[in-house]
Amino acid sequence: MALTDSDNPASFFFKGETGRNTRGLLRLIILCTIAAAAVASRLFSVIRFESIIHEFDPWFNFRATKYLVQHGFYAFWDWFDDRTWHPLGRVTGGTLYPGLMVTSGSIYHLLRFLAMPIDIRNICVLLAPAFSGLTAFATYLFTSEMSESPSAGLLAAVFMGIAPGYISRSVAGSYDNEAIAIFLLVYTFYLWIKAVKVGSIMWGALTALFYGYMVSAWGGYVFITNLLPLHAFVLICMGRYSPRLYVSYTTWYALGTLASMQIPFVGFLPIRSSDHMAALGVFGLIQLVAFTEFVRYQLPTKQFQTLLRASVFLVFGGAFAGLVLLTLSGTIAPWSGRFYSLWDTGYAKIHIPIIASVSEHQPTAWPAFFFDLNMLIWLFPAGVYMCFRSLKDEQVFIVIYAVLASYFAGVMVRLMLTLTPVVCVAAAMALSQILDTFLVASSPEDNSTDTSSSKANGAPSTANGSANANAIKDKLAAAFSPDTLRSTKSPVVGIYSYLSKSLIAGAITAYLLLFVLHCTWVTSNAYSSPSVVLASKLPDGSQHIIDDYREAYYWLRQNTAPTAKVMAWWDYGYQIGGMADRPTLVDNNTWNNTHIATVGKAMSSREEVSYPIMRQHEVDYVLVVFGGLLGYSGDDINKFLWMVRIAEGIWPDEIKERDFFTSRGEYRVDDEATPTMRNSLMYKMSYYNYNALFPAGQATDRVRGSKLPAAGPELSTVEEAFTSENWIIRIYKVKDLDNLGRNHQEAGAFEKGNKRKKAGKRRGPRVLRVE
Amino acid sequence: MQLRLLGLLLGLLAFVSALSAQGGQLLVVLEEQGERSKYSQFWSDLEARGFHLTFRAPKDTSLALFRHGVPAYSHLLLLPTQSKGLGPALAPNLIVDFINAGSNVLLALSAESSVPSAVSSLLLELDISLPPDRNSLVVDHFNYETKQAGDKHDVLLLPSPELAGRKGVKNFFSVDGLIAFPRAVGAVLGNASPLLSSILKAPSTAYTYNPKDEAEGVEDVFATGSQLSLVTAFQARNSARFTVLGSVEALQDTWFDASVQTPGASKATQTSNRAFAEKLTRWTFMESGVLRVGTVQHYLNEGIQKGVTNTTSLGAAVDVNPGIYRIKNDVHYSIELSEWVGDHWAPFTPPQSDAVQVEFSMLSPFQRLDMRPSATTPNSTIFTADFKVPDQHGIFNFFVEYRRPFYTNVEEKRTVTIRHFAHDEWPRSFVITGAYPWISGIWVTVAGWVGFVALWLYSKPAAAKVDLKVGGAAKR
Amino acid sequence: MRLLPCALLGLTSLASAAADANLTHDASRNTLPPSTFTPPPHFRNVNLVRNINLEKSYPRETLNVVIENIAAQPQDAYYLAFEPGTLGQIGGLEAKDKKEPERTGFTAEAVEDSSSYYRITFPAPLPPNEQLTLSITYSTLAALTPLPAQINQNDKQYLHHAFSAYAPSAYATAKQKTKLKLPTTDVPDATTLPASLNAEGKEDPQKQGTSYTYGPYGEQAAGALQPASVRYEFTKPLTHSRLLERDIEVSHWGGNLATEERHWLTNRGATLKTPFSRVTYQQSAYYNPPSSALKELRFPLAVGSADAYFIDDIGNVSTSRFRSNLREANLEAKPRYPVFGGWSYSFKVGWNGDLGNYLRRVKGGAGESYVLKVPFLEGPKQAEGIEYERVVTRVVLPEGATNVHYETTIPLVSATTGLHRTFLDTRGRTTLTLTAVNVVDDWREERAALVVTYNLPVGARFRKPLALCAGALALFAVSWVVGNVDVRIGRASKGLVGGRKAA
Repeated sequence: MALTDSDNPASFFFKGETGRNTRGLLRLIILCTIAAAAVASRLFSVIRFESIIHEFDPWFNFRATKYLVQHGFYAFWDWFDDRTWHPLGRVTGGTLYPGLMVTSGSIYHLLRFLAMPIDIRNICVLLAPAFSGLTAFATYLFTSEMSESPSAGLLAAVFMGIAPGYISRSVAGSYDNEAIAIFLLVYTFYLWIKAVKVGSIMWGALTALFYGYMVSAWGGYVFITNLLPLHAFVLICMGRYSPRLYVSYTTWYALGTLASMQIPFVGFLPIRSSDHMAALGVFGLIQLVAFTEFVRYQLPTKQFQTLLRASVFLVFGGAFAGLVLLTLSGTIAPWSGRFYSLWDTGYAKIHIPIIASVSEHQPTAWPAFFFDLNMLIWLFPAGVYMCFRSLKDEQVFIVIYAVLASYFAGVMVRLMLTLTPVVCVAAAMALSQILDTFLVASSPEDNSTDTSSSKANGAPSTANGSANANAIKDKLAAAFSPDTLRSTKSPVVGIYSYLSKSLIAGAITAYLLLFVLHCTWVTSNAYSSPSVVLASKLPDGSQHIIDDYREAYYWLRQNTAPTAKVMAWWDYGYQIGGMADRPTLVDNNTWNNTHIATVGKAMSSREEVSYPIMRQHEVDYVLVVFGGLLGYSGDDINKFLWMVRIAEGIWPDEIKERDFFTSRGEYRVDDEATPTMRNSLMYKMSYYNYNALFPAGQATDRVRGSKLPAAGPELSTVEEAFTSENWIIRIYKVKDLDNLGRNHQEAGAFEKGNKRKKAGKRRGPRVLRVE
Repeated sequence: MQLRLLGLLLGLLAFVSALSAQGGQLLVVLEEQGERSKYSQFWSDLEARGFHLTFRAPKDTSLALFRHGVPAYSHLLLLPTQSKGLGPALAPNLIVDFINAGSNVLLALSAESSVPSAVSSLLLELDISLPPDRNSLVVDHFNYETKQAGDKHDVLLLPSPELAGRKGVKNFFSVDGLIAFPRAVGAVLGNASPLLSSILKAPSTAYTYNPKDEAEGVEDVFATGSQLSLVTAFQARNSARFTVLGSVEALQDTWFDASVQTPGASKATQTSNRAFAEKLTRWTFMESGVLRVGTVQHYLNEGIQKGVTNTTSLGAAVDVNPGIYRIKNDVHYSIELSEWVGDHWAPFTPPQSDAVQVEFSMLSPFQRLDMRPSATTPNSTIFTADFKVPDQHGIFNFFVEYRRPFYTNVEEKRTVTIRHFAHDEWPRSFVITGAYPWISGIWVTVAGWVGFVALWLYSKPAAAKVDLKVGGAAKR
Repeated sequence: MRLLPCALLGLTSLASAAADANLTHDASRNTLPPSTFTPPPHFRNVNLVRNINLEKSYPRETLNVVIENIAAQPQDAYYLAFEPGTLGQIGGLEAKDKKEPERTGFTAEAVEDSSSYYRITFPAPLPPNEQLTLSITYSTLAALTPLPAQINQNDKQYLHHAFSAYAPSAYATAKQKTKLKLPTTDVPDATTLPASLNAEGKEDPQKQGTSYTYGPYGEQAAGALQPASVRYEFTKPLTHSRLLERDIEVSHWGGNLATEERHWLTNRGATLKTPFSRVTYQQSAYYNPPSSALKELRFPLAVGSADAYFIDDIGNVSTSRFRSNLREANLEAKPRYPVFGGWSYSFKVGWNGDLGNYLRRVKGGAGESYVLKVPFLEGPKQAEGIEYERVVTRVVLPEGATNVHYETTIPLVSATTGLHRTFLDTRGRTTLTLTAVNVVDDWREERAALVVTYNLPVGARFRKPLALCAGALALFAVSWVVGNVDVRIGRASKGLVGGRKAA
C-alpha cells in the first residue's frame, strides 16, 4: 500500500524538523488518497446504473429532504404527512431523526450560495461516499490516539475506507442514517478518548456536541450512550479514577443529555427510558467517587474504609431500589422490544413479528464475518491482545468496545456496522506492530537513554519505528503506571535476519493486496445494486435492465388521481410515496402494528372479507409484487406468511397461519394449495390471468417452481388496472359498489349470463317485507 | 353574428323544451303499433310535457339502446309483449347497462300477456320477484270495480298511495280519488335491497290467483295482502330510476276517466288514473324528486373569519375550502341543495321529521350533525353546520350522504387533513404559572454557576502546591 | 352536481343537449358575450375553396379565396371568420397571395374584441373592384374527438370531426366548396346534405377515394353555416402536448450547444373500456397491429449530435436507443409504458451539438457579435403528427451577452429577455424566452428557424475564471489568518500539561 513505501524512506532521508514536516505532508497526501479511494470504491452503482436512490428507507429520507429543501426547516419540523398511513397520517417531523436531511439540506444551500445549483438528488446520492471519506479520516485520528505508531492510524484509515462491512451501508445512493452516523460514531469516540486523555472541558464539550449530532442522525446513538459510561465505570473499577475522567464524563453527560433532548423524537427518553439509565447511574457514581476522593484527603485511612463501605452500600441500595421503583411505577419506560431481541434472538419471532420480518434484524450467519471483514477478522483478536499489553485508559476503551460490538454483531446483521470500526482499529494496530518490527533495515541495539530523552520531549520516536523503540515504550509504560499487567513488561526483542524481514513483509503485502481485491469484489457484486432496478445478463453478455418497479410507479404517478390511495405491503410504502407520489396505507416506518395487520388481513382473507376493509380505508388501487414470470424471488407470495402472521397477531380467530399450509405442512401454490390460500386476495391477485400467458395447463411459477392449477383464480371486487412488462408489479383497481345494490359475485355471475334461480321456487319460510 | 344568434336560438329552444331534468328522448317499446291508439291520451300528455317519443317494436332491427357506447335515449318505456323473448336489443344485460349509464326505465306489466323471461330475470336482479306461473293476477273481493268486472273481481280500485307515514319520505304520487288497476300483476319485493320501495301496495284483502288453472282453493298462494306491490320504484345508486307498473291497462284511455264504483259505495266516481299516470311518469322520468348539490364550502370559523356568513363579503381574506386544519379548530360547513320542480330549480326543504346531516369522519364518524337551513337563494337552500374539529389528527372527510326513497341520492365528500399542533402553537412557558418554579430554578442555577466560576477564577491557586500533588490535586 | 354527467351522456340527441343547456340556460347566455365588433362588409368572396386535411391527428385547413373589394375606397384588412369557440384552437395561421407566393407582408392576428375573427392585413391596400387571391393555411388543435369515446384495447379507433359545409365567412360568398382529405376509406358515417342545397343539384358530398367534396354551393349570405360531420377510422394515437419547454444553451468555452426538451404529453385518443390487460397487449405485440397507443417516439436529431439522454421524474428510462453516425443521429425513445387514450406521459430528453454548426461570428459591430441559428421546435417526428398546446423555447446565451435580437417565422405570443443564474455565474446568463401557442409538428426544424444575434464583449469571457481565482485566493488568505490566531488561554493550561508530564 501507499504507506509502506511512503513512511520508511522518508524516515531514512529526513531527520529532525524537516523530517517531521515532510512526514506530515506525506501523511496528509496519503489520507487524501485514502479518502479518494473510499469514495471511488462506492461509485459502482452510479457507473453501472445511474445516480438513483437505492432500496426502501432511502426513498423516504430523500422525500423528506426534498420537503425540507422546499419548505424550510420549521415547516419540516412541524411536518404532518397526510400521504402516508392513510387515513391516520404521520407526524413525520416529530418521529424521525432529522440529522441526515438537515445535513444534506445545508450542503445543498451552501452550494447554491456558492453559485453551484446542484440537484438535491445528486447530493443525497453522493452523501454517503463523501462521509465515508471523512470516516476514514476520523478513524485515523482515533487510532493515532491508541498507538504511537502513525502507520497504525493510516492502516486503520485504509481498512475503514474499503471494509465491505461499512460499504454495505454507504454505497452511493444508499441515502440512509448510517451514511453519516458511522462517521459521527467514530469521531465522537475519538473526541471522548481525547477528552479522557487531556481531561479538558473543551474536549468534553466537543464530545457532547458530536454526540448530540449523532443523536439527531441515528437511533444507534444508544450504543454510545451505553459505551462511554461503561468505559468510565470500568476505569473506576480498575481504580483508574482521575479528575480527567471526572471532568470529561460529567461535561459530556450534562451537555450531551441536554443536546439529545433537543431532538423531538428523543424528547424525554434520556431521563425516562431504561436504555439511558446506565449513563445516569454512572454519572451519579462518579459524583460519589469524586466526593470519596475528596474525603480521602481529609480523613485518616482507618475511618475512611468504614465510611466508604457504609456509604457505598447505602447509596447503591438506595439507587437500585429507586430505579426498580420507578421502572415498576412506569415513570421509567421498560426496555423496548428491539432491545430484548438483542439478548434473546428468538424473542422477536414470537412477540413482535414485524421486527422479525425485517431481514436485517436476523442473527448473523458466521460466513458474513469473513465476507464483510476478510482478513481483519483474524487480525482483530491480535489487536485486542496488543491493547492488553499496554493497558492505558484508551486501550481499555478498545477492549470494551470490541467485546460489546462483537456480541451485538453476532445477534443482528445490521450491527455488523458498529463492529467494523473497532475491527479496523484493532487490526491496524496489530498489523502496524508487525510492520514496524519487520520493515526496518537497520538492526536494533539496546541503548535506552538517548531514545528515552527523544521520547520525553514528545516527538513521536516511532518515525524510525524499530523494535527497541517498542522496548523503550514498554519500559516507560511500566514506569508510568506500576499497575499495568505483568505481561506488558517484555524483554528487548529484535529481528536480525533480512530473510525473515523480507519474508514477513512480502506475506503481509500479499495479504493486503488480497484484502483490497476481496473488498472490491464484494462491493461490486454484493452491495452495489439499487434493488429498484434489476440487472440481468443477456446471452451475449450485454446487460439487460429490468425496470418494472419504476414502470408501474410512474404509471401510477401519471395516470391516477393525485389522491388515489394505494394499498401495498409495507415494504413498498416508501417507494410508492417517493416514486409514484401517491398516498399509501402503510410504509416502512412500522409505527402502527394494527394498521399493518389490517393490510395483512385484507391481503390474506377472502374477497368478501377484504372488500369492506378496503372500502373503509378508501383504497383505490392495490399493488402486489409477483415474481412468478421472471423468477424474482423477493415477491409478495414469499413474504405472504409474514402478512399472515402479523394479521394473526391481532385477529387470531380470523386468520390462522396453519390454514395456509397443506396437511403435510408444506407452503404450496399449486393444486395442492389449501382453499384458504387459494381464496386469499393476495393469491388471486398474484396469479389472476397468469395462465392466459401459457398454453392450457402449462402455467408454471418460476419462483416456487411449481405448476399452477389449470383454472386461474377469478376476481370480483377488484379489476386489473395495470401490469408491468415482466409482471413484477401488478396493480388492481378496487371496484365501486354495484349500481343495483347486488354484491359483486352476483353481479359478475349476471354479467356472465347465468340467471339467478326463480325466487318463487324458494323453499323454507317466506320472508315478509316490513316498511 | 348569425353564428352567435344560432347559439342563442339553441338556448331558447332548450328553455321551452323538456321539463325533465335529464332530457326528453323517450323510447317506447310496444309490440304491434295498433296498440298505440289505446294510450293516445297518455302519449299526448307526455308530449305536452316536452318528451320526444320514439316508438319501436321489440324485434325491430333499428332498435338500439346505445349509440357509440352512450345511451341513445334518456328514458325507456317498456309495454308488455305477447312474445316470450324481448329480442337481442333489449337483453337484460343491455337494460342493466342502460340503467348504469343513468337512464330511466318504466316497465308496465299485464296479466293478459305473459311476462318475458328476460324481464323476470332482470327483475330478479333488482330483487323483485313475480309470480312463477305467468298469467296469475291480483284479485280482491272487497274493493274491486263493480261496473265492468263485476264477477271477476280483477279490477282493483285503490285510493292514492299513503307514503307519508314513513320517515323522511315525501309523497310524489298522491292523487285524490280512486285508481283503477285492471288485471294487475303483483310483485313481491325482497327485504335486502334498500334501493327498492313500493309506491302502491295491494290492500290486505288481495291475493294472487291464476284464473287458468281450475284447481279450486289455491294452496301455497304466491303472496297475499300488502306483500303484493302493484307499483314498485327502484332507484339505483346513480339515481337512475326503474319503475314497475303492475297493470298496463291503467294507462289506457278507457281507464283514464272511467266512472267506477266500489262494492258498498253508493255512487260511481271518476278514476284518477290520468293524474296518477302523470305523477308516476313525472317521478320516473326525473321531473320530480330530483336533487342537485350547488356549492359546498367549509372554512375556518376562528379569528377574523369567526361568524362569517357570506364569504364574498370579506373577499380574499377568507380562504374557502382549505386543504388542512388543525386539531380543535372551529370549522364552518355549508352545502347548497336545490330540488327540480317542474321546469326550474327550487330551494329544497327536507320532509317533516327529517334533516340533512353532515358527518366528519375518519374510518368512523367523529361528528354527525343535523344541518340547519341558514339561507335560501331563488333556487336553492343553503344548509350549514358549525363544529369543533376533534382532537385527533388524520385525514378526515366532510361527508353529506342524503339517501331517501323517491329522492335522488346526494353524496358529497370533501377530504381535509387535520394536523397536530405546530411547535410554536403551544403556550409559552412563562404563560404557564405552574412552570415558574422550574424557570426560576434554571436562572438560579445559571447565576450560581457564573458566581462560582467568578469566585474560582478570583481565588488563584498558590504556585507552591503544584509540585507536591499529582495532577488531580493540583486542580484544587 | 350528479345529474350533469347523466345529461352529458345523452348529448348525441338534440333534445337532451337542449335539456343540458336547460340546466344552465342562464349561464349559456353569458358564455357568448355580445361582442361589439362587426367586420365592415367591404369584400365579397368571388370563389372559395376550403381544403380540410384530416390525414394527421389534427386538421390542417387551406382556404383559397378570390376576394373582391366592393367598397368605395381601398381596403387593406380582410376579416376571417371561424366557427364559434374554435378561435382559441387555431394555430400557425399564414396568409399569402396565391398568384405570387413570394410576395411578403401579409400579417394575421386575432381581433381583440371579437370571439371569432382574424384580421389579415395586406402589404398594400386593395383598390375598389380589384380582386385578390388569398391562400390561407392554419391548423386547428383538439378539434378531433374519438367516437365511440371508449374502445377495447385492440379495437379500431374512429374520429369524429364536425365542421360547416359552408366556410364560415364575414362576407357574402358567391361560390364555394369544401374538400375533405381523409386518411382511410373506412368512413362509417359522413353527413349527406340534400341535393337541393347543392348548386349543381348533384348528391352531396361527392366521394372520390379518400376525398370528400361538399358543394359547390351558390350565393350564401355572410355568416351562413351548414353543420356537417364526418366519422372515419384513425387507429393512431392523438398525441397532444400540453406543454413543451425547450432550453438551448450556448457555451463558447466548450464550443457546445446543449439542447433539453421537457414534454408533457397526453393521448387524446379513445379511452380503454376495460382496464389495461398485459396479456392482450403481449399477445398482440407479436403481429404488431395499428394501435391507438403511443409506443415509441423518434427524435431525428441534427447530424453530429452526441450524448443524448431520455429521463423522467424518477430517473433514466432504460428503454431508449441512440444511434449516431455520419449521416444521421436518431434517438428512439420508448415510454415506460404504452400510452393509451386518456393516459399521459411526461419526460425529458436532451443532447449536445457542436456549436460550430449553429454559430457564426460576424465581423464588425461592437465587441464580437455572433449569429446563432437554431430550430425553434424539434421534438419527436411521428407519422400521425403531434400538436403542441404551448411551446416555450429558452435560449441561454453566454454570460454578459448584450443587445440580443431574434427573428423567426413562427407566430409568437410573447418574447422576453432575462437573466438565468447557474453554475459559477456571477451575474447570470442572458436568456431569451419565446412562447408560441397552438403549434403543430409541421413547424419542426427548418420551417421555424430561430435566428438570434448578440454581442459578446471580450471582457465577459474572462469574468468567470477571474472570479474563481479571486475566490480561491480569498479562501487561502482567510485560512492563513485563522491558522495564525492564537486562542490559548495562556500559561495556566500549559502549566497543567507540563505538571502532568513531569509527574
